[in-house]
Amino acid sequence: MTRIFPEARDYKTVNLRISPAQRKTIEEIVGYGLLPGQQDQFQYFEMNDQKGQVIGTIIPSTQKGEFGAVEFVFGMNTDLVITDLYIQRARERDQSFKDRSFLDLFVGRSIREKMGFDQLYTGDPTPGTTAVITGLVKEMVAFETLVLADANLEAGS
Amino acid sequence: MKTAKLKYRFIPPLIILALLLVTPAVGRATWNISVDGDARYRLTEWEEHDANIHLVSASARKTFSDSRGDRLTLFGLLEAEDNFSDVMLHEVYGQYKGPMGAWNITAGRFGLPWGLLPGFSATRLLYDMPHGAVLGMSVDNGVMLSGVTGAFDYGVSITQGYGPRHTPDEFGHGLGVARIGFTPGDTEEISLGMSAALGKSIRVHARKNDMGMDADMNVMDKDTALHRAVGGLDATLYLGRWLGRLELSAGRVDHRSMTAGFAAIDYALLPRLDLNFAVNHVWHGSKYEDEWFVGVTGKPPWFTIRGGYRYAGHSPSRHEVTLQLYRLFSFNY
Repeated sequence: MTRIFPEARDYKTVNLRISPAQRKTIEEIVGYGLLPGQQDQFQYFEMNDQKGQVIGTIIPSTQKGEFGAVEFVFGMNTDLVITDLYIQRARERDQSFKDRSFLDLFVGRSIREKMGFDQLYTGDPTPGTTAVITGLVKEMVAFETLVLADANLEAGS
Repeated sequence: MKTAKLKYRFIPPLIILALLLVTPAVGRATWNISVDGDARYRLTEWEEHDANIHLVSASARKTFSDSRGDRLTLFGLLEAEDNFSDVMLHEVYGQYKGPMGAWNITAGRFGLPWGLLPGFSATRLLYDMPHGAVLGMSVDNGVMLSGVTGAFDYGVSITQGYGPRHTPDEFGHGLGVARIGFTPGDTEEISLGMSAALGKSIRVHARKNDMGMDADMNVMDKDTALHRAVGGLDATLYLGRWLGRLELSAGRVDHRSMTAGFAAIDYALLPRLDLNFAVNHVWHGSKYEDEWFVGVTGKPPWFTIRGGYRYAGHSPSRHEVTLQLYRLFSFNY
């Protein structure tokens, strides 16, 4: 976590339940059914400074690769822009999805650009690159649906 | 006297379990509930066979956070082995987390910071690891300071040396265990560790001790506690479809030299099929114990199937074929 937010002084785990209606919304946006284990819960970490103010969010993602799960982590600042991402564990034949040249395609991208992430990579798709792109989009859609939508509702009320 | 011992023995875990159930007065709390089941069929020496519910476990983790972050975690793990004939509170602890997890204080019954243990356990797999010979156990009662800072992680524990089955009415001589780990690079493909242990602990984590006495009896006495001074190295390596784990230990146990080596390799043959290999060797004085394993792991939807052949040269039952059906459920709230 300090790799993505070196200025953070603490973090808080947030677990959210996904209602059937929210799951349907997420699946309609991403265009596929959510994986078992991701259908009714969403977890992320609030990164806080010394005063307890949120300075960013870290979201872990697990997507299906060819030979198991591709696990990675990405962070968004308070403007919902990706600050960094890195691969945690994966056993894939093609390892190009771990290259910084691929991962840096998404650094500096806003959550508003998420639906165009698949256009950023122009190389030959591999199970690993597809897992990273799919995971980024899915987690951002879930975050928007579960966190930002609620925040907008609270702000409007 | 026995009643007093019983009360002492169960009060700390009961306090933690009670805290797990009670909603905190301050802060926010998140729950993680996990349940897993392990059913096995064994063919021993190509003649005897049996099937049982090898293990069912349930764990609960409750994390309380304050305005700045996660602060206190309470955890309990209950295990029932061998068709529910042996039920044990395998782990129960409270952990206070410092900022960014750079330091954490854990008190209770927890996994020891040794070798591969902080990130890997073979308890649900079809082969063994040498921690019974090296430390006496993999879980013990005491306190631990641990944390992660940058690419380094560390753990230092002081425990009773009795393991999870023996809770005496005194602290005992104690066992000190420490480990420092290093995970370089951006992709966490390699992780290295160095461990050390010094103190006294019982012989083996087992239901009965070598004299056939029941686990509930206090067998931590001068005759059964072993002096231990050991060091270890460990490594975990992800290389494409290969996953390798290695743990080497050496030192003196019970005033005799001890060397132990464990290695396990998993290869993703197909998207849902792994090949598994493992070796486990212990030299203690003039005694040598060896274990060799080869098997497969299938991952169809909804559960995991494992099968394998184990050869244990030191065991009366040298040949064993095992089939396992395994399932894990985990929920966050």
